[in-house]
Amino acid sequence: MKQKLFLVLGLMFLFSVGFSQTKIIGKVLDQTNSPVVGATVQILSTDISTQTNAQGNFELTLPKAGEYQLLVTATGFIDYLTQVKVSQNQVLNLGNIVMQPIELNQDEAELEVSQDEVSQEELGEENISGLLHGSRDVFLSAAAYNLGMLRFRVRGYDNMYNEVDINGMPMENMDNGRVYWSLWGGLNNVTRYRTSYLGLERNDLTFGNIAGSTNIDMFPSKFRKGYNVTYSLTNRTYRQRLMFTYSTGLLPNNWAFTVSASHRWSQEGYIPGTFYDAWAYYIGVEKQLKRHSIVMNLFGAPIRRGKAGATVQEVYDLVGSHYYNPYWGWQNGRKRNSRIAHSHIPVLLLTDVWNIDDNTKLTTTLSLRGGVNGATALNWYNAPDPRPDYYRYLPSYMTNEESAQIVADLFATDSSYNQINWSRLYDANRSSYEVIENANGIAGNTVEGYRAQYIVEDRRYDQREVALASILNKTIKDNLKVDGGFLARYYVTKDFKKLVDLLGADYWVDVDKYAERDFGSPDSAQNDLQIPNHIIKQGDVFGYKYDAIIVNSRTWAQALWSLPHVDLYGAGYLSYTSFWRYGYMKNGRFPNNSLGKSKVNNFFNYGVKFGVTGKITGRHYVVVHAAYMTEAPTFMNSFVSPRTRNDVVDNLKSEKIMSVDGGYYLRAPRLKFNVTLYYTEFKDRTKVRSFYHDGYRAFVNYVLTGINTAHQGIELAMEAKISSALTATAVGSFGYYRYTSRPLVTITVDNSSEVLAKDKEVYVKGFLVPGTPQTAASAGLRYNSAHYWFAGFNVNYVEDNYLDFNPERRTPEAVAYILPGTEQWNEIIMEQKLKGGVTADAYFVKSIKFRQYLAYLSISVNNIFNNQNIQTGGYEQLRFDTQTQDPNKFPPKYYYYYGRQYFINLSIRF
Amino acid sequence: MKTIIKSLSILFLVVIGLSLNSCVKQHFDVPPSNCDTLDTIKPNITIKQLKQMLPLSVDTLKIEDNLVICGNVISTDRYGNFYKELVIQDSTAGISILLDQTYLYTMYPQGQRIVVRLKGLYLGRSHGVIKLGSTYDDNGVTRFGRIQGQEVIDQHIIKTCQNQDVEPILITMDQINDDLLYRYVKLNPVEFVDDELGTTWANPYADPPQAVNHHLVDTNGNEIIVRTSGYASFAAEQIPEGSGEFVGILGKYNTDYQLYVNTPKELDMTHDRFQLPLNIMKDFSDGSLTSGGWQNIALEGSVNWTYQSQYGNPPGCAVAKNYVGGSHVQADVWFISPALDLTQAQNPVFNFDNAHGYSGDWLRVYYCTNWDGTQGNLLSANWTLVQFNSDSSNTFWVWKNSGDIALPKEQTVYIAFRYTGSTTDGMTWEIDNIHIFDKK
Repeated sequence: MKQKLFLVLGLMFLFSVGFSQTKIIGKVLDQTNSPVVGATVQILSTDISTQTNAQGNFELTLPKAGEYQLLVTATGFIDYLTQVKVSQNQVLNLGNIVMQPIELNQDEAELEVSQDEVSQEELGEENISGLLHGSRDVFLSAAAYNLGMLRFRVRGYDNMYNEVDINGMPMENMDNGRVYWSLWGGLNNVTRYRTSYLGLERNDLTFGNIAGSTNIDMFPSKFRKGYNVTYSLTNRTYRQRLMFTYSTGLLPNNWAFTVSASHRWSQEGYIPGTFYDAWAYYIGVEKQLKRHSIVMNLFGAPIRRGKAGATVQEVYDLVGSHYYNPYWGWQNGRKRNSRIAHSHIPVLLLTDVWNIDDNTKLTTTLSLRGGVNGATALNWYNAPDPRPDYYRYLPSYMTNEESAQIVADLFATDSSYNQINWSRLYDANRSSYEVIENANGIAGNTVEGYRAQYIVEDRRYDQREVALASILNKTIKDNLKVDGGFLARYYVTKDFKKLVDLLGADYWVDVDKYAERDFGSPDSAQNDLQIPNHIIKQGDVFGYKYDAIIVNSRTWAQALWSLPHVDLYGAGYLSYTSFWRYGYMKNGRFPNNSLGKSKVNNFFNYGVKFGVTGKITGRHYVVVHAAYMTEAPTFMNSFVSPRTRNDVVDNLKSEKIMSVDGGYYLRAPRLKFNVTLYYTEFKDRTKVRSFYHDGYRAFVNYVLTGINTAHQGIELAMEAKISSALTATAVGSFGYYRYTSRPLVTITVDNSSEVLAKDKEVYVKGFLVPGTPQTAASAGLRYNSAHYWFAGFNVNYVEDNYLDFNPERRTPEAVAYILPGTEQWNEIIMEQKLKGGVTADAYFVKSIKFRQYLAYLSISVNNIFNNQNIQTGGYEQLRFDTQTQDPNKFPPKYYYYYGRQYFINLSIRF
Repeated sequence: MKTIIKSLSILFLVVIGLSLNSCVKQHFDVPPSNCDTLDTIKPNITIKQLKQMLPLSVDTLKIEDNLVICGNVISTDRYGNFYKELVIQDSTAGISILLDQTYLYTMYPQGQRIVVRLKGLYLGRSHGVIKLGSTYDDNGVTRFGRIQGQEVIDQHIIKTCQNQDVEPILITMDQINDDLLYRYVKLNPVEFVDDELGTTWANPYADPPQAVNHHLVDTNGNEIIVRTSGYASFAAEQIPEGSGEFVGILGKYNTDYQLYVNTPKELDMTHDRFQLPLNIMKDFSDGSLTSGGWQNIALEGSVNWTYQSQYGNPPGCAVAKNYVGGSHVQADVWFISPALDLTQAQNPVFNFDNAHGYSGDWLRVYYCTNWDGTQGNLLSANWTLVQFNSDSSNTFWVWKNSGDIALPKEQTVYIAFRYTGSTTDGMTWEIDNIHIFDKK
């Protein structure tokens, strides 16, 4: 090492005195002609190497003339090897070197393994981070491929702090700030070209967000020409997958067309009772003009799938499986899932790329999207809770020992008890003949028949969006580049419920069962006073109906200035957000506060960030970033109970985020290493939830304000080429994410908006942030054979993941009259650590060429040793028995990481 | 263009191929009813026989034999008046089954015929009533209580495929006895007693909600309690004001019989209220002299009829005397009934208990049909003096009943008890249990 360092210093010396004039220069570009920054360019059999700068340029100085082998490597690209001949004192210009992204080589195999978006969703997360897919960074790709499935989130950031753009257009749902990759699920071939930026790294196309940003390039002319047919077999959320893509490439008449379609399906996935039926389609058309490239992308992914739910440990233990799913039950010999998520949101993107001159590019995208989102669930009226794992149905609830034993024995084995008993629901509906007077608000109108006690309802959150994004990239000088953009969005979520199945009954009446119990006035039970006693049949809208309307505009700008030994960039944005609710129903509890338009909430926000990259030598870099920004609260966390009324959280505030990170990067020919330290503070976050509060004996809205957290930690990544065929990688992330404030809670009764508690302190200062392992590491070896195959394995480790806690248990009331320090006291207030663990994955990929056909076969196995005890997530039930103060009356629910999984993929190109 | 057409046709074929082999079935037929045709299990005792198994000396009994009863569900918890309780009856008797489940009506609706496998269940006595249930552990003490767990319930209670409307049996109040407990019964005509009119079935807004006892009365004046839970969905509704048919389930609390309604919808009490038979009892048990419209008029002197809690038959009566502060005073005081409408009675009479001491004027008892109720016209009205029995021994304070005294069948009749005394002497009179009724 010392010797090498000496040599490097020697070379630098030679370079600096200009002793030799023998040089090779060039520019490394990717398929989109964007510079590849940080690519390693080396002369084989020597120690001569360098890295490309921000423009992708490199310069190598050679000691003497001769023939050399020049190797360009960059993460995410196929190695580029070429033979060069340089004469003495010649500056050989290699021109543009266009790197081919790794597709079915490394990337594909691992991408397929990791791109099982829904599996993570099933493991408890409503959606997954888009940041990590297809990343070229060692740390990020390991974080995504190896640790992502274990619910590892980079730096512990919430997913809403990621940004994903397609052709410069942000794709998140504006009501909650999250990106749903299921929008284009199954369209792997046309969403492959993407670049991810971690944290505060500079992105040409957007200001980004705290956790990072990902650009997906969707240009038919850049898709690989020809056919691609893929068939996959797996045992995860889906069992089989067929994908088809055809791309014309850029035709002589400067048109390019791409079509793609896929189907992923299973009658039952890894978790019992989950089916999967996902289709996807894509049509892309591009026309290149002299200075313009005009693109139309249309895609959609209709999906229906049965969901899996978490449950309490008692149930997992009784049935003897960590993959028990309470959401399904037998119906006529087939498994029926009560919770079906479905979605189909077609997206139309019209993009114009205008190369105004060689140094100026204006990319403008108009986006139209709209479609259906929903998830079904059971609802019931004056009937027993149909959920099989309801606490009153479990042996622990029984006070008769003999009964408890019988219940335990039967619950363990009999699916008519441990799963939803659909036929009982039908029976109940067939024995509830009722007469409804003044039905539909018409005096004297009498409706009779079987009144539904149980129904399947579809909770919809359809969306519509119109958005326009314009991005200007300009290179002012060779070392000065500026970018900027403007974004305007109009977004509507249409929230309502639709009755999908009466389960054998004749009608449902649209009244609120809790209000009916709690109030004397018959009006107050009505969900819509405009149609009292509304008789609901299949397909009717009921319960609630409102629009969430969000309007946002954003302007941003940044500049990058490259100096010989330092790159500097700075960026900022200004944003204005307005949102309001529009109610279509006149709620009986809130007749004056539910129908029509709510007050408009306006937020002005801004953000600044900057970064410095110190290029100590071509191999040693130091990077520092810092940012401060404010973010408007989301619609979801602003309205106290949008289903019933217009009330907004008092003193609603923008969230403030401050973040710094700094790292050191080593880019030696055989060794890449980096270490990064980061510190981020989130302040004044608001969170709204609703649940049944035992102490108040009421369904309450629970508004937490002033939530502050701090995330700090260290990230390490290493990639070593042990030999030309063998590569070792290791990454580690050691975080400390914790709460730094005592949030204030305001509790209101959902049915009356009566304030039960105002700004009560929640004692969670110092609590660790749940939902992600705070410690994670992964190490692997990979062997690249010259005979067109490679294989490898990884060992992964996650630990220090905490259970999502119930704030109500961290209040003085929850531990009133309990001696501090006693077991019960500790059990109520202490945070619970989830079980971590070690998994091992292996993969093998082989390519075969036969005439014009190129076939890739990849086989991977995750969690080889079938570790079924890793808890990937879970939550404490928000219900807490204030009478017994026993936290185990409503114990936590957990999700477990899947056991052994395989993924076999065969892809043929021609 | 050719390639595009070619590719589109391949795409088309692939899509067709996908949809052919990759159908995810998600259509579900309506399942048939869950019920038992009773091929394998037959009842072998009646509910009456079952109830007789529990000896009076025993409070809880575990049933060890393979006994089976069968009955129809007559209660419903749809409206919240029954809670975790299922009442069934066969042709011999009815019984309440305690189940630790809510919304039982969704599984065992009214009319549902069920079979109960008794082995392992318990008979227990709860406030004097035999019920079927199980036991539970109450901090180490085993108590009779509800059957827990659907798994356990399903082993004992089997739904048959029969469901028929059960007709309540028509009974009269004097027929009520323990054999009718937990039967579905009908009383007709009955009405709620006068002073409960305008009240609600129960008190749902109390915290916790409170049950309320109301009283039904029949045309003979017999009464029975109607008890309603504060959690009943109709608890805030007013009880019916009319008379007519009452349908409910007969229960008992210790020694009091009680009726429970499933829902007021089962009642038909919309007819005009009926006239109750003449039956007025003034027994001073409420501690008031003037309750019920009685009045006290002193025509002369400062003494008056007063309420006396110490004496009476039993204690609690009206007393008149003129010995005040060591001497006798002049007195003429009248204790007068409210106006009595005796036109509907066949043979109106009244009687009362009396006792006396010391010497002086004898008590005079009158009735009158033409008094206008004002003090000024009291003496000018036509008062008819009546004879009554009283103690003739020389012992003081011997209670004696007056014997029945006939009254005229007029619309306005007053009864008066007139006490007089002079400054030289005066007796002390006590009267109690003034009973005005139709002797028929």
